[in-house]
Amino acid sequence: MSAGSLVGRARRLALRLLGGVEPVVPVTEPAPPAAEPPPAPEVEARPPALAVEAIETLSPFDAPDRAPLGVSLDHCVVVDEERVFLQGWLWDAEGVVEDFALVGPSGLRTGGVLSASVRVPRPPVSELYQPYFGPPAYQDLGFLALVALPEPWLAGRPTYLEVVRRCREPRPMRLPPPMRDPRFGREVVLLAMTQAGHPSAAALDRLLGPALQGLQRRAAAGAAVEAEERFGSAGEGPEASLIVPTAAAIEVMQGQLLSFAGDPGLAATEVLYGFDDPDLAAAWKRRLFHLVRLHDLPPVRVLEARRGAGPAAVVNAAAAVAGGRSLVLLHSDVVAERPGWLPRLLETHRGAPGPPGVELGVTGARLGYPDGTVQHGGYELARGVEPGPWLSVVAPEKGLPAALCREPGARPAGAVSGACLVIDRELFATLGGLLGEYALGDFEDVDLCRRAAQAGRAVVLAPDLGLVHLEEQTQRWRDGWGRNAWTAAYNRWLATRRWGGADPAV
Amino acid sequence: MLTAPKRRPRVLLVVHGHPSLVVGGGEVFSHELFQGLRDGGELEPILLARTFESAHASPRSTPFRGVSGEPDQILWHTAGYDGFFKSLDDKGQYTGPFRALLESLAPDLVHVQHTDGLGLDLLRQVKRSFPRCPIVYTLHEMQAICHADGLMVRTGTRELCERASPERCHGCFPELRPALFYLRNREIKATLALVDRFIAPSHFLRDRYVAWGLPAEKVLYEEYGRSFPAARPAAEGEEPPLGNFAFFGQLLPTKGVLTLLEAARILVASGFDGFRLAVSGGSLERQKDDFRRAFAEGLAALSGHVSFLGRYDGRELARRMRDVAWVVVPSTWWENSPLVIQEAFHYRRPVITADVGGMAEKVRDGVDGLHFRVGDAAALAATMRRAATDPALWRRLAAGIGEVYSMSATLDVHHRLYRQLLAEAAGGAA
Repeated sequence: MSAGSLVGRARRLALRLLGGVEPVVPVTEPAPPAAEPPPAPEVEARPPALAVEAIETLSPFDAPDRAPLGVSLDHCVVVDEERVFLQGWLWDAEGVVEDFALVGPSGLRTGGVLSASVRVPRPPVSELYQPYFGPPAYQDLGFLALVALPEPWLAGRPTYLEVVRRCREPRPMRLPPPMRDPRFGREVVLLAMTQAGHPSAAALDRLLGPALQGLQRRAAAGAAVEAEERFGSAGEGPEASLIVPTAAAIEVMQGQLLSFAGDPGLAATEVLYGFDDPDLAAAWKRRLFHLVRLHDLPPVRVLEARRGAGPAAVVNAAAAVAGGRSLVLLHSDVVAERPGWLPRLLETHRGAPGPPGVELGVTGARLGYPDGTVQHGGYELARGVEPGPWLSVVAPEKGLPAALCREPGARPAGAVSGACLVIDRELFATLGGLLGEYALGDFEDVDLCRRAAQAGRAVVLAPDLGLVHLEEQTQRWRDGWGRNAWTAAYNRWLATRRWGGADPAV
Repeated sequence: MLTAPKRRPRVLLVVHGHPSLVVGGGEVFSHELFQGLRDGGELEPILLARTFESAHASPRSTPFRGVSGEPDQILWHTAGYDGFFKSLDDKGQYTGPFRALLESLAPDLVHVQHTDGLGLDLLRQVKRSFPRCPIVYTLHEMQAICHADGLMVRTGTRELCERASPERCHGCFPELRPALFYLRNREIKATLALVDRFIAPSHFLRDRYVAWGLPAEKVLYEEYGRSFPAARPAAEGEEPPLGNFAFFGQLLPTKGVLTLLEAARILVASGFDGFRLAVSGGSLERQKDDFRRAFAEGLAALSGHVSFLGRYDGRELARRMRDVAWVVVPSTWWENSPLVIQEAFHYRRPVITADVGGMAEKVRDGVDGLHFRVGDAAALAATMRRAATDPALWRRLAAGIGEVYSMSATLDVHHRLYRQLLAEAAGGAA
């Protein structure tokens, strides 16, 4: 087999295995000189313009027959103004790579990129190289790194990666186009983390935790209601605003809304649907247009925030324009079995039992499954109930027949579910609303309750109001064990950072 | 001063198909009822029937069209029927054209015969447009209760199902979560709560719906009334050949025709030669390949004993009944009130039928027919053998057949019910 056909075969194989990701500028790595290598030049001394011209990717495809070194960068995710998340791989059969550095537009550097990275398996890369070089010294060819930018991005003046080699001149590499949209960034980071196997404390502390936190923060930041449409007759100033961040199928949303039809207890209410997806919003508005003509429904407002803002940001944006004194945060898959649930919830809220001097804070509804068992009977935060060193949310009565549970009246709780809770608008604003740093709408309710409790407010579980939570109709979990495991671990990691030491309720 | 003449109460009859387009029991009965109401003269009935064919070339035109020569009949072309939630996906079909039609017609009473393809939300639009307008709803099957075509037969094992629940229904449709069945049940019940009176043509069906949650006081039992031609195939005292059996009905798997063919095969295999079976029915072309193949193989294996006569309509019934001694109704689902039983009884033919549901109710075992264990071909074979060899039995059962409930009787009941509801509505208004 000729060298050319070998290279071609390797190239096709690589393209197939790497999902078609091709290096930006494939070039041939020059063979190392036989004589003593010249001293490595100072990068800072190199004019930036020359550095741009010199940027090249070490090709994985030409390497097998020329040199035992290959580097590829798959993704560069902008976490925030100061950090990027890099995903790539390195084949270094002879161990010549000392480290990577990130070099800014004016030559400032962040070193130690590779040594601080999390190494992960990349079986396709191994498959590409091993026929030519045998097994490498280490198996984990992939790397994931959270890297501080040495200096801000500058248009036309690239930030690039430098491959620092022993006894050789450093090689600059172009970064992939920076992925600035935090929604896509989150997808890339979570998918990349699945390469790292089971969630570990080290990977969360060094990498996923801060990266995802930064991305979530950016996705949620500054979200506001950008469009609004009203349906049905607007009542007088509502006493309570039901805020429904929407993610469920339209049939489920309709099922919920129709369960509110004709309920006199919802007369002084408005239902606010918050969307961060204009397509879903449009479909729901088309349906609503006719539903309000067929049913006796409370006034409805459809609010749209920026695409991908996330459920917490959507709720916060809706709360900012809500007309009610009290806010009822409601998942779109909570269905009322009978009318009158809201007055009873508000009544419990106003007369919330608690120690003397404790002001009302958050009141959550007991929720059932359609089969009569308990879906929600309060939350507690605890350690040691799931693998990993982080806190978990414990739902003590979940799944039990309601008749077998503790006393049915109102009682204090560590936290209550955001599937249905009431909080006064003013307190919600004072507490800063829902924290958008958690992923996929999980843990935000617990965090809100803990902040309320920290502020000296009561957190109470209301008696049974005949509300059914269909559950899992709203969560944005995607298929795939690894991704879900890392997401859940991230939320626990963040909750532990925030509440693991200070909260007496834990 | 001129006053407008008082018009007759206008009754809008809503049905899922028009007999000029679709031949089915529900359509035929509804149309007969409509004609009877019209002929009665007390009311002004208007028939609104669903059609599959688009009314006009432009989708922006009206979904309604007429029936040539019938000024009081309207066809409604609906689109996007959600058979799970029993409603049209595009609710604008209710709040737009249907509402406009309704408010133009201004019915005093709406009687819904069937909502298949039309959706239950039409009831909601009726009450939105005319809150006092009474709604009557005739129950023909169990579609509101059961997503499996309203059969209440488990999809996997084909066992008869006694009770629907989100968990059990999810068992029949694993791809649909229990939560969806919970919502389905809620929404259908909430809409049916708008109905003022239900009519159930069998006690079995009434009991099923009451057990499911309809208020018992709202559900009336009222058998299908039938109007038959006076002529009968055989004079009193004449006996058809005792071994002649017949099947009438649509050739659907649930109608049990394969059970019947298997029973015939068992009889032949046992050496019993004294029977003939005539199968009449259509819809075979709409069935799945495996059913059609099994049916064809069953027929082929029994040539000489079984003849397939194909589709029929009411006018041919007398002729096809002529040489028949026994009509077999071997359905493997519950049935409600099979019209074929009334047809057999009209021609004084005892019925051999499965021992469940509406069949067991309408045929009295040992009085006007015989029961066998549902789905059990061997039991059916034994029953057929007994029937074919005992002339005294046939005479006794034929003599036990009562009069078939007439259309004129059911028209009286409908008139009384309408008067009562109209009076209640008027009283409420006062």
